[in-house]
Amino acid sequence: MHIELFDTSGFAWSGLAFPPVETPPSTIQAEDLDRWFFEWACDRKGKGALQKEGLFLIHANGRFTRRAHQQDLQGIEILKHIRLTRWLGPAQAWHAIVYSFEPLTSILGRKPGDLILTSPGVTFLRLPEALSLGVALMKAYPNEAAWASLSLQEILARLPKASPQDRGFRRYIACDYTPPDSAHSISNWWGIYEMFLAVFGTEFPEYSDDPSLPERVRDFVLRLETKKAGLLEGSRASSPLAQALLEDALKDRRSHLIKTSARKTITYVDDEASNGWTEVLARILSGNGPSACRLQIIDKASLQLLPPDSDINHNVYVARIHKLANTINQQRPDLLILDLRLLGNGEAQRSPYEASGMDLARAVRSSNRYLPILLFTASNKAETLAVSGSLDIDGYWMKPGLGEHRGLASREEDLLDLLDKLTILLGDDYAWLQRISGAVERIRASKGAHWWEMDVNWPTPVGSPQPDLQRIDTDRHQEVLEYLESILYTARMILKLQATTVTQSHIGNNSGLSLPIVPDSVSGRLCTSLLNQIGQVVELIHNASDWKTDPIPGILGGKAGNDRMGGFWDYQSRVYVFRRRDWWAFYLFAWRNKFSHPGAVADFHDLKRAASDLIAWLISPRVEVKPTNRITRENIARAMCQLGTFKNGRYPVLRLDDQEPSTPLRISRIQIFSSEPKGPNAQDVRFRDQLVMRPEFKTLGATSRRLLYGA
Amino acid sequence: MPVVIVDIRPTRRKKIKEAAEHITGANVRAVAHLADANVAPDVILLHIGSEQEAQKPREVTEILETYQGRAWILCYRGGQNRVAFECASPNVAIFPAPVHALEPELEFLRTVEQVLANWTARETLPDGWFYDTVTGFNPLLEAKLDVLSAALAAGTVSADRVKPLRSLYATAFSNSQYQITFDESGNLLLDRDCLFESVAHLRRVFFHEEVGQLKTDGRRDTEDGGAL
Repeated sequence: MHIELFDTSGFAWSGLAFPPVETPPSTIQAEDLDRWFFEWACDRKGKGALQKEGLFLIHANGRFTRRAHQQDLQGIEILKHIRLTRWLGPAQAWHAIVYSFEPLTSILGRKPGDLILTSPGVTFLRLPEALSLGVALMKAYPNEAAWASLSLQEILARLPKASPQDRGFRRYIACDYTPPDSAHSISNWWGIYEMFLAVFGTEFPEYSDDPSLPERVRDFVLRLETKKAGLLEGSRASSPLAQALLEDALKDRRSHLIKTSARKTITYVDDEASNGWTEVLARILSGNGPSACRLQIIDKASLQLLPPDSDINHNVYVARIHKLANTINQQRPDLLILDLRLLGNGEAQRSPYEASGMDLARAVRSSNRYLPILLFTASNKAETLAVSGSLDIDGYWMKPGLGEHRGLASREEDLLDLLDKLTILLGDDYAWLQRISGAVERIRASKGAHWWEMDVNWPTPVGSPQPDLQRIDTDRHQEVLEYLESILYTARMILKLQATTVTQSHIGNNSGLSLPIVPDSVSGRLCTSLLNQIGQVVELIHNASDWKTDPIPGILGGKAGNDRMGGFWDYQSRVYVFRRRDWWAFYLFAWRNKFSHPGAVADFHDLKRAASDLIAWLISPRVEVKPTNRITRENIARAMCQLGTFKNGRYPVLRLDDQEPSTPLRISRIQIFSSEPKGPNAQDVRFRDQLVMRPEFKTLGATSRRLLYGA
Repeated sequence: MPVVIVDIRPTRRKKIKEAAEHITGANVRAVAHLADANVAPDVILLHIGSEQEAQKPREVTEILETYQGRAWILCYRGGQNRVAFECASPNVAIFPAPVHALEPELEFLRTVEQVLANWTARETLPDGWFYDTVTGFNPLLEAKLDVLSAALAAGTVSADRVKPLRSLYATAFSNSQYQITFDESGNLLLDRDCLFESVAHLRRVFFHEEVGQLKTDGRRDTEDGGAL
């Protein structure tokens, strides 16, 4: 039986004739008890002394630090440390014999929180009931008459162990616990500790030097108050099965994130970055070689913000916020991670909407509207959760904290949440959004340079006596830009909406969102709106103000078709009129029409492709296709949309106004395009795919591909 | 008597201020940082929690260094501050229990009131009064424990250790059935043949316990300890 003795008075129990009895080494010089205990525990653990069967002998009034007094009851504080330090291993549950001159009632009267003396696994002995430990124990357990015939060693072996992991033990700690003082710093340091555990997989980083915990975090974790908080308010351990599933998911997500973040740049702004968050993020994003993600840090030393408390400093604060925003934009990050309160507790009383992090997000976004921004925060108050819906940010992650900041989630689930959010915001969808916004900015800057801003003399339609001259008499550039901005904004809203509802199981191996969007859902309506806007740009450009009468009568026997020369769809004759030989516009128009009808569902990838195709069409030179052979006409015909039911079961009819015979073809299949062609099949033609194979559309197709997928 | 409360938590400093003003009137300032007070305080109620340091590093250290010689500094915490713990000045004391961020405990507020009420009479107070009052230090209890430990370990207790108790328990010492005497130097001497019983007797005396039928290693002890 190994015995650890904590007594500085020189008192010696008689009967303790058998070794080993270890006393704390005299080399421990810590001034405060928390650090003293840590040094003792490291010494013992290093010597392997705590793995065997053992017992603690503790003088409640022992003095273990220089300025201690006997009435400080440091021995009982050591007992609390023992019960709350899991990395002690089996010794955490060793029986503890605590002795004192003071009666138990006196101790509890002075310090009611010392109820741990009555917990299972503790025997309280009053000095000097007996100098012989065996006699003292027999007095303490009067019901154990059989002990009279046992040796001291045998009695000690029969003393019950403690169960500090049991739920019933919590009350002995709760009675001596005051919740932490500050949510902000506690959540930061506790959050770093939790993430170290989850990310590095080290069980007790405060004990091990690999990885090395930041000193302030280690200092925080070693405190008895923190250990109490960890027991009472820390994360809950998952069941073994859930734990195993989580670990598999973590491995999978981390490797996916490393691939997604390759060659990308992240800017991280946090006044607590240097307290360990940088190490956590760097580890999460770690990859090898030149393709690894680049992490740029703006920490407390670099922030140099003044708190916006007084009017005198307010202007300086605003100027510095904007200067910082410029610095960030110059770094050209692919993702900005931002802490909500960059001024720490200095702005604890400010509304989250007015926090420095939100001010900075707004300043960055004013000149970089589609940069994804992920907000870190250390609070889960209702108003902070409300700010997560702000359109100034794209995502929100709460640093694991204590008490009100904890749910029942484990730290692994918190880490999974962070990995998923990073993957989404660094993924293809947001990267696409940034590429498209860049293209829109280039359109904005090059007013007058595009074909659709100029007069165009389209080929005269067959049978028409008048030429098809498209004249621009409005600010076409401004009108188109308004639509494009709306498309971009809507796309961002869809992403933000989906990010709040997508589940982990859907991320899988696809980067970005590949969920089919429910038509009647908000996302579904937004997608339809986006497609409508794409179609409206086409109609805007082709729906020229030159109103000409369509000279070709409606082929279904109705009246003449409407008189909009540029339009592709004739409402009266219900005929697709393939005018102007702008095949790309025709495809975009028809694609929009397909999803304008109830029941049609597009996913976000379809939207991205359509928007990329639209912008490629706008920024590329105009492509006019000459009349072609019959095969092409049939391909086009087969590629028409079936637009739902019509009267008398009639289908839309394609009419070509090029110089071929205007033979109406009945269309019965829908296949505008598909991202996964199934192979060469005459019955299964993909219109768009056919288009991009033609030499006339090679450049346009390549431009669209670059916008969609990047260089 | 200017009193300054230095605490970055506005709710807590406001409540402490209310308690302090009850004693001192309007001469109390509650600020997040001492520099905002613009006054040389006589008493400082100083929050030494971690976020106070985080907000303004070294502020606690500077306050302790600057004022420990001329003001009472009553420290209180949510967390711990090494500098404050290591400060040896008798004018610096740390309230032992953590003080809640939003609702300071009644015991803490009473301690604040007690300190402020006695500031003007500080010259007449015994040495260490401020420290003992804030920390709840009980010199008598400490002396009792000290004497008992020394007695059990060595059978003798030095004069300076037993001095705080000698006058209080003179009768108990002299009326004991066990040999408890003082030598010329004032050291307490116990009968080594009955050391255990002597110490047990002292313990009963110090903690006002009934003598009763205490069994000590087979011997019955029926003496009235003569507790005062």
